[in-house]
Amino acid sequence: MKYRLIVLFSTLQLVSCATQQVSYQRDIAPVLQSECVACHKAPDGSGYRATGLQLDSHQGLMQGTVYGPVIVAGDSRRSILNMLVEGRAGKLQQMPHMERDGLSEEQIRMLSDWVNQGAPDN
Amino acid sequence: MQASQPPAYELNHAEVTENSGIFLIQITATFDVPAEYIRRVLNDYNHIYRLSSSIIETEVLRSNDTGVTRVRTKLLACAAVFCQEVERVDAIRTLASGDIQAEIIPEQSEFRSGRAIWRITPVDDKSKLVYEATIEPDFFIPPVVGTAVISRSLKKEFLASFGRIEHIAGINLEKDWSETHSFASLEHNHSKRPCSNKDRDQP
Repeated sequence: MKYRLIVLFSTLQLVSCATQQVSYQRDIAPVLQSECVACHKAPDGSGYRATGLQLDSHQGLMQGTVYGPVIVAGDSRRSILNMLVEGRAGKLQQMPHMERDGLSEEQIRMLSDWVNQGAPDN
Repeated sequence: MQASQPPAYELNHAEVTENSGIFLIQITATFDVPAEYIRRVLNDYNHIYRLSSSIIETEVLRSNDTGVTRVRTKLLACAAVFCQEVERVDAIRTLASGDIQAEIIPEQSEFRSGRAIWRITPVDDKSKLVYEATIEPDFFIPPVVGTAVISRSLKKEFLASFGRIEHIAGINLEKDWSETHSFASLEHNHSKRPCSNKDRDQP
């Protein structure tokens, strides 16, 4: 039986100690701009029209979709944005869409670290 | 467009009990949304992650000619401060009545057994949802946590999911209404490249 027993607070502390501070403005916004904003921008982006998700600002990202938030600050495992870019919701749902190359492992890890660090507007 | 609002469903009954390691969950609620929209949300396996913040991984494995769809989910099951990743595979089918039945496949799950049924009944323009399930975990539960804590966590989780179900159903209802009543919607082209294609959709 495969399982993990986790004391959340200890894990979060370990994660935050082991990784470098990620900056939204320096590290995250450029990735979103190049990979996501073409579709997730008001008023005409197809991603925005389908879900209301705007990825051209920190505020829009944290506001999420009409269905609910896509970021759980401090917990990338529960964050839908991380699920989708990592392919944890199946290939069909993986973001960005297949016409694009997709995020690199480094970009995915950075996005995960940033969310685990609380997804600040830094 | 704005994100989620507080759940507005009317909770009629909610009970989670445990007996010999088997948890029994019974929840009944009335939603301010027609039954077809509730059914559509529950049948949307590709977006099942929207229904619970405990779902950290999901995959539609396959559908077959008998109308059974297998869905794998990985859950972050938390009780008090203890969290554990747990996998399960459900065989899901829509019954002739329109009710939805899910059965855990123990060989592919960390559960000894599990069965759930979603009964959805129209009540004028609203709908009544009765959820009944039994689950028998096959993973380590720290003794310090106890079954009472787990029952409370399960209840809280399911009530939150019910809120999400109604919210998403309400959004879909609004969208359908807007598309039916707006000429502008005819200009929308969600299959335009490079943002999407017809087989895919959005978070």
